[in-house]
Amino acid sequence: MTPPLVQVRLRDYLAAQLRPLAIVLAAVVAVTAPTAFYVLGMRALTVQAQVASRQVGDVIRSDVERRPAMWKYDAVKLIEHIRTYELQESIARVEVVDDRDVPIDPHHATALAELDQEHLLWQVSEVLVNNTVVAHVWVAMSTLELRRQAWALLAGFGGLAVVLAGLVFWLPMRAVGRAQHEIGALLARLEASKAELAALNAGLERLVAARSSALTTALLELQEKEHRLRELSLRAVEVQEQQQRSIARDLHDSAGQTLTAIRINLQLVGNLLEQARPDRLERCVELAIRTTALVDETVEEIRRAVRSLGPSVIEDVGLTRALERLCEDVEQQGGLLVETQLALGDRTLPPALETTCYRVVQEGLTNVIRHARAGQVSVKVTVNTDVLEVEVVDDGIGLPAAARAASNAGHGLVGMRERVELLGGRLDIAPESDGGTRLTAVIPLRQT
Amino acid sequence: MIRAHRSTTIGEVPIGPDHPRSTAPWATVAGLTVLTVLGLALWLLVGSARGPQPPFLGEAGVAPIRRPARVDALVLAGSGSNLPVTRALTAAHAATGAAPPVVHASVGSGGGLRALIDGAVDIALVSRALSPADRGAGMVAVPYARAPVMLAVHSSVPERDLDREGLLAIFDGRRTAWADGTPIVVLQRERGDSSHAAVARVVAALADVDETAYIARRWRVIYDDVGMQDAIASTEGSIGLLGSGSLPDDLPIRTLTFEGVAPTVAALTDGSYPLYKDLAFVTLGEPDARATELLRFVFSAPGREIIEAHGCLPLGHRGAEAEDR
Ligand SMILES: Nc1ncnc2c1ncn2[C@@H]1O[C@H](COP(=O)(O)OP(=O)(O)O)[C@@H](O)[C@H]1O
Ligand SMILES: [Mg+2]
Repeated sequence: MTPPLVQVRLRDYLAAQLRPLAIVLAAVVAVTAPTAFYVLGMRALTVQAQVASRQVGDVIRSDVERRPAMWKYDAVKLIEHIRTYELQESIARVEVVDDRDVPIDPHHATALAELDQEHLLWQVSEVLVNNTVVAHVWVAMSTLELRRQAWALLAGFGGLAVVLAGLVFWLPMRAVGRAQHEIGALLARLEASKAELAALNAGLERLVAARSSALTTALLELQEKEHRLRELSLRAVEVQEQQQRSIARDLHDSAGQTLTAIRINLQLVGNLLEQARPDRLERCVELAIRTTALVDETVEEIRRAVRSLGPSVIEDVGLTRALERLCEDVEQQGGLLVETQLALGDRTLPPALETTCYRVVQEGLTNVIRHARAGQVSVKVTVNTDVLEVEVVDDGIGLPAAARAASNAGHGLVGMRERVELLGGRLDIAPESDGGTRLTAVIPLRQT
Repeated sequence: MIRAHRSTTIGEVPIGPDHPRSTAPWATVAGLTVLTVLGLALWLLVGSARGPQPPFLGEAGVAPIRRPARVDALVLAGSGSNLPVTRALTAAHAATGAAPPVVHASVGSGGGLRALIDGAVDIALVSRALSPADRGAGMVAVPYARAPVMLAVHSSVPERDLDREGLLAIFDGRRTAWADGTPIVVLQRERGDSSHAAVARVVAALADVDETAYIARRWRVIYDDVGMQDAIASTEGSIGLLGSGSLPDDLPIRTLTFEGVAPTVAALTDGSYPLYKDLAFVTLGEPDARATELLRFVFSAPGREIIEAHGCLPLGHRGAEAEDR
């Protein structure tokens, strides 16, 4: 599409519409007025002729009434007089005929021969005397002048028609020509702005692409940083665990051994003292026994500390066995039934994962003992292809309303949740539908 | 988005250059309109030019003359100039015991002759010479009196005489007032009047002067002698030609002398008054018995006396012959 093409076609279209209109206008303008003029002029001439013939008829009638026998010989002068003096110029001829249709003017033939019969309009009226037609008065109007004027009018209106039709054709054509020129300019500008818009669009698209690739890069960087951060955290946890384990091992190996030796020694002292003075010995023994108890307590305390510091037992006996022991401990100490269901498979799990799993079970069972007043607790640990699942379900009193909100949770659960989330998993605690509490943790096997 | 817009081109839809079909019916309508207008105009033009056609334009000859049923009495009609003396003659003739004829009021010499041809009269009273055509039609003229053509004026006119030049100056419109300043009112007879023709025989220029006045419609035109008498009598400062020879006593009309000569029978007899016309009876063929009887009386001594009493010169057959020559 090019603007000049549109321009040419639009003008042609308008011309095709206007040309018939101009022709119709020209025809109507040129023909109507002269025709109306001619027709009305002929009417006027007809009426004039009728009036004149009636007037002449009146004169003739009075002559006939006055001179019934001789009127037609006398009336010639009268008619001549009327012809000469009484009639308008447009009346070409007045002829009176008697009852035999014979003109009373003896010279009528020569006079009529001089007239141009082509351009005569005749009208007739009767002359009645006593209800008898005695004569007819014929009046001829010359239509020559009317025709000449009509022709002149036709020429004038023809010219006017041509001018009007020309204007009707030319003015809109000129206006449309101008409008089209402007439309063409507008279209050209539209094309130009479209091109600009397209260029702008392309630029915008490029910009968007650039920005989005930058964003992707940033996102990747962020993910990598997060990944690194998690690795660092894991390592930190592992280091902590290792430290705790080594401390526990040291405590166990050194302090425990030492205390055990103390205990043996104290037993030996007691045994020896039994054989000495009975009165003092009595107190010695008593003391020794009391010290022994004290040492027992200490040893128990240390063991407990060691256990809480780190489950070194995992390294010693494996996760499955460690969990089984934990459950057995709880069953014995807490006085409640613990049901275990452990399906860990043969896979070697990352130490951090194993530790976290152990801790979750440990904390869950501790909470059951402490808060649930439960009769039974079920512990279920499953390793699937991707995730490790931990479930601790009790039949106790259920979670108090305040504890459900994360902010009100105690330190135990919060710590567990942090550990689990560090490994990319999630921890939930919720009341069971039939009372009791369900603690769930799901941890992915492979940390991203 | 913008690319999608580009596919709808602007030139196609709103400007509408692709409608060649829509012009064809319009052109047809326009053509039909033009044809209708032209046809209507033609129909009106043709329709308006129509009118009845008079019977006398056709080639069909004049219907045969239907002679009116005749009365026994002799019927006379014709020029007004003849009437006073003729009526006096027929009255005197009837007084001698003849059947009284019918003498119609003036129809002019031409009217009398046409009535004669139509058989409406027995004798036409004519105050001009017969044309060869009239004679060819079998008409026979019998002149019986020479009547002076009088320059008649209203009695208020102070002047007594006119010569040729004076007459022409007045009828030409060059002279517009009498000696006392009264405006001159010229009363003219119709074209072909015998009095004017008689004066024009003497004052040749009068024919042209008269014709000019007719065309210019300069003067009032009177169609018979009686009318002329009445017009002169009722119009101060008027002048006109009277051809009947005598004037009524009871009207304020006078005659002027022409170049010093009064229009008397004596002046007619000796020929000194040159303005005159001969009055004649015209019959179709030779006069019949009743006409001959009237003619005999007219040419008799009592008849001649009556003619002279009316200011006319009685003519014998000789005079008529002179006139014919
Ligand atoms: N198994 C459970 N049955 C009932 N209440 C529980 C259970 N586990 C936790 N709770 C409630 O949740 C709270 C938070 O537990 P926790 O974070 O371990 O803190 P702590 O044990 O030190 O109170 C507890 O105080 C207790 O009220
Ligand atoms: Mg707790």
